[in-house]
Amino acid sequence: MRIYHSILLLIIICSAVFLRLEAAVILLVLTTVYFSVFDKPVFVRISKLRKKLSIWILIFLLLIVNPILTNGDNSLFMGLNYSNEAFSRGLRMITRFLLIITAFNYFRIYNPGIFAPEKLNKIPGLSQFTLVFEEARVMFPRTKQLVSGAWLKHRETDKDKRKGPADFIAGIFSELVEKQHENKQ
Amino acid sequence: MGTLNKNDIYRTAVFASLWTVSEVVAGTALHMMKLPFRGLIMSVLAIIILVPSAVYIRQKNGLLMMGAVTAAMKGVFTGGLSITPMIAIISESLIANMILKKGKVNIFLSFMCGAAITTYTFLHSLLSQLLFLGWDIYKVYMNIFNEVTSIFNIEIENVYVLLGVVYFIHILLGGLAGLFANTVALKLQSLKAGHDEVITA
Repeated sequence: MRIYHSILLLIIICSAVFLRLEAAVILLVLTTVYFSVFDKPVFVRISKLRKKLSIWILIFLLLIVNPILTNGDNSLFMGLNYSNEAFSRGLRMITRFLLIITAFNYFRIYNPGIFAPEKLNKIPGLSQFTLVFEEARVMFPRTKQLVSGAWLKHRETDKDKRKGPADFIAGIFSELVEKQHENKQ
Repeated sequence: MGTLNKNDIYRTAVFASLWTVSEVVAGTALHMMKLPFRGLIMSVLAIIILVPSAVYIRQKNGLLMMGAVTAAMKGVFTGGLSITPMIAIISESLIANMILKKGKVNIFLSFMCGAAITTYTFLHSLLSQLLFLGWDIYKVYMNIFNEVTSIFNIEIENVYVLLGVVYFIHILLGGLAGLFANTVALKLQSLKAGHDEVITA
């Protein structure tokens, strides 16, 4: 990955998030033009679908950013009234999302294999995260059942015989650890 | 991140699944009811789960791992992509991870943990709106403040006082939740002694 590509993409993302949206869009369009004209070998590597998607996103950005830039005076595009502030803000939000997605897409393209499993496994804690996630995902329905069961039991008990809230919650936590362990066995 | 043994993985998973249950069930219900301060309610629930779970999850960065798994599960089990609650879950677990190091739970740390988490909750919407809507959103808020103060003919300083009061309520509720969670943790500690033998067997 060439360092100036990364810096450019970082600038685009930062300007999309924190600065003027128009500046981010213009930067992204210029970057795409630059990549496709002067850096053809890299641009060719993009899969057909991704290339199409990027181009469509750019067309969409150009179509919606023009009326926004003209501050609501241009109502030709689909006959929509851009002077409507809420609508304009909604569009700006969509544009910001699209910008970030496109910039991220470029980042993937210019960093081939960055999300490959052998590289991902080097991230500290990721393999352990996968193990815990898998375990928690399997436990989830049983946990839901146990918590709702304990709650119903608590509600059915006479008021004067019920445990205090701290005892009740500690009881649920302890029961969960115990029952899920039994379940695992 | 230290290497997790079987027990660490199992215990982290138990509490992550419990937190996910609370997030999915209570979080969705509160979201549907459009209640104000629902973030604060969810944070109080998070404190009540995070502080006692530190009794069981003692490995380095264990609470952060629990938060990351809960956030991922929230994304899987909730319809749609709920980015801001996921950010909140990870941030809350990061705060708890920094304060309750190696399972040290006492009244002071629990109170601090609760207050810090609700402080984050107070700032959460402002930070997440900055991320998705940009700086402009603050200008919109300032305009609303100015309009409201001019309608009711009150000084803008009073709005800052109101914000201060809301923040104080956040800290107070967080601290109280932390103290309650500390009581739960103490009770859990006494119950845990028996289970440890069973689990390690």
